[in-house]
Amino acid sequence: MLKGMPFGPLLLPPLLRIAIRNVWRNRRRSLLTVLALFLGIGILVSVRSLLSGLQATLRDEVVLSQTGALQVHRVGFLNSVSFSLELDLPADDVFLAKITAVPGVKVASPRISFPGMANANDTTAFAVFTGIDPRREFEVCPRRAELISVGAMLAQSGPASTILSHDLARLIGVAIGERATLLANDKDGVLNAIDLNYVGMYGQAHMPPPEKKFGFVPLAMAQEVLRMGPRATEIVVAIDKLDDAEKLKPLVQAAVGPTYEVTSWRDVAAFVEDTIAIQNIVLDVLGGIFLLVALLGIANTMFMSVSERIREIGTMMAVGVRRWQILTLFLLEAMLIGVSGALLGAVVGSCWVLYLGSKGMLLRAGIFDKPLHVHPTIGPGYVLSVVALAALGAVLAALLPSLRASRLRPVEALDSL
Amino acid sequence: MRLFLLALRNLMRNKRRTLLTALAIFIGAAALVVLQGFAKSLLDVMVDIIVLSKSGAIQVHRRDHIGSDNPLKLTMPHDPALVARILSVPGITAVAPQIGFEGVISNGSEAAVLKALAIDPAVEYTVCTKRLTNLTLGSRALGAGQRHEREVLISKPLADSLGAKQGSTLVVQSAGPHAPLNALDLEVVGFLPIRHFSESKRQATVTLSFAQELLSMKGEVTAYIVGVSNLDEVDQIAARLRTALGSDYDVRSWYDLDTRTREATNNYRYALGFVAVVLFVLVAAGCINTMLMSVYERVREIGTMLAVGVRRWQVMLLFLWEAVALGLFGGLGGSAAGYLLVRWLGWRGVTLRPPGGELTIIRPNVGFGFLCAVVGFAVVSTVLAALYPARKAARLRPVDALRAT
Repeated sequence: MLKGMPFGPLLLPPLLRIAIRNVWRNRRRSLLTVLALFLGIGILVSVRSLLSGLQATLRDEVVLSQTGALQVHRVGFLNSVSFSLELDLPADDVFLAKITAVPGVKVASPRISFPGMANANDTTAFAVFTGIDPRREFEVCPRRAELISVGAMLAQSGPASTILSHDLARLIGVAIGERATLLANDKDGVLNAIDLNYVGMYGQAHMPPPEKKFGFVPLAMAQEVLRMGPRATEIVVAIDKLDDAEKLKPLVQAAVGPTYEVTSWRDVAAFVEDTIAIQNIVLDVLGGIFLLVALLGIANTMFMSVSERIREIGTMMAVGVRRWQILTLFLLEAMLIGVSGALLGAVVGSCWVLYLGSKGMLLRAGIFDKPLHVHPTIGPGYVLSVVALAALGAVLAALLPSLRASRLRPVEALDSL
Repeated sequence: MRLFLLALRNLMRNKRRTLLTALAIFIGAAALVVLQGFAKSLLDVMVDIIVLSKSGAIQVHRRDHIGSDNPLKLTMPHDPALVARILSVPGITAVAPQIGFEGVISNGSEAAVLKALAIDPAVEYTVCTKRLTNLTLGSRALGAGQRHEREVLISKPLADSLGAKQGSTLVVQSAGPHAPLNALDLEVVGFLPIRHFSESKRQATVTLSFAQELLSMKGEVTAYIVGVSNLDEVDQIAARLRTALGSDYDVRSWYDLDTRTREATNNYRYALGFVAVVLFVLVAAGCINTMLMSVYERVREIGTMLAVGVRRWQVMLLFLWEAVALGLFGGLGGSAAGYLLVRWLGWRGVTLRPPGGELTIIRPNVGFGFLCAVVGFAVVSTVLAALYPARKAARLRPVDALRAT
């Protein structure tokens, strides 16, 4: 009975064996139906993983080069635009230790953002400066280092150094290794100055708006020029697992007390989440349409299959096969086609994704000034649910033709050509 | 024509099969139309916000002004003759002068760096019509009501941080290209909403005459913004303007200035193309299957046709006509259904929030050209898919075909 099939006499329930034989009997037609599902699912899996990779990169890019996972400010600081130095917080080891004592927190890095003027070659430019603790900062925002296009990082110790944005450095006409003066008003409005060694250029020309003129100095220098003592305007916190940010937020809040406000990267960069949500909805809708179109193919194939085999069905009924068995037989055939197409698509798609993921790919995205490294990834949950959905869909698509087959009257069926 | 009628009759012979195949095409076409309706109108809203409330359709600067270390040194005359030269270019409807400058704004105790834009209220709103309304509730546009030069609109966050209310007085300091640092005071008449994370929070809008006084730039401006009659032709109009003004001027269209939106537009085109290709493949697979079926069913019939003298190319054409009819049927139906859905959504209005922005109502709409393109695409897809089955039918040998069961 199973001669000519590549499966051999497997120990399968008889109905399933007949279903396999029937699918195999019309290889070309089955293959084309399977192919449609294979392509649909394969493309869906590939796009999903590419998008997941892109979304993860986008998130990392924002978190690891700008916001950090969590941020601590004095209450009211975030609504202020004018860099109020009054709204500061302690940055001594005791206060930082309170934050790092929270389980799951890796590092806490204090920063001071302040407006100042950079002066060199008799040219002065307004700019926004950020005082950072070089060692801690690059643990909190490791991607920042990649943005330094020329020169080196700020030195942890030794003579005062500065990193300037491309536009700022060009404006005041300094080259790497030359000196510039930083002027800034302290809390009392007194203008103080400090000499800095320009060691690195941040970013490239044509940075995206809004801020193009900015620089970084070591935290100690910022504290000195602003006469602030061991204080800062924000503390950026790195955590072990980025997904835990929302869980750790209240814990850190409890550790620092109500005078300070803890935010997560989701609060500061809400647009990342918005973008991801919209992309996911669009892809789900499109995936549904792809699946629907492929499943219509299955319905069509099953209708053809039923009308071809009317006499055969009549014979089966005449020799005592029950109606529910006929129904199951056709549903099984549809499911075989659905599952094999979906599985094939999922496996090939996943393999391709794994290959791309291990290699990584470079993409350009509008709002970033450098190409992004994207590692496509896909979870087994998504693949499994897509395959399950395809199998279920195949059964649903085959329901009408199968019901038709199971309701044939044997006498009339045997009588048809 | 007779062949086409025959093809139609063949399709009707197996109505359910035809219907299912056409349904796949129908869904694909409807999906493309709705996708286009949504995405295009979303992009149009984005472009409208930029063009009508920020940049104008085209901007003219003195050559090298953009990217200059000292942009205020590269100015243009504030001159009716130059305005008339720009306005004489066909397609240009309005021109307004501007000065962009940086300075410091303060309330006496606190100060903040400022990016200011100076506009001429008398003509600005003919180009950027939305500048009149793109304000927070209760604000007054510059130049509305009693004319008064010392007015400022500042961004809401900046105002909050300076504790400025409507009616407060603030001081702006800046230095002109040929003048020392100067300071003038201003009355706050309203607030600019910040809609997108990439917008600067340190914005303010002042009147042109105020900026010219502050910076000692009488008779000078840094930019002319230009309104056009048809935004789709902005490239051609910009090119004509470039020729008219010569090489001393730098003419850029809105999307040269806003790379983010240009990028979004391009990304959308790629995405739509990709979706279309995937749908094509899926629909084609279904179509090949159906056509192969009907070839196998009709082997004897094809044999008879060949035996009574129907030419091979006619047999091939018959099957291709069937594909054309299928594609037309599904494509027309799908486009029509998609169009109705889009019109309904457009009539209702869809509220959504662009990433990082504010709630916006978009009214999806889709052009007649796109509908035609979708129908054409559906027909081409089905014909391509039918090529193989049709060739197979045309190559049957009459004797063998007649012998087949």
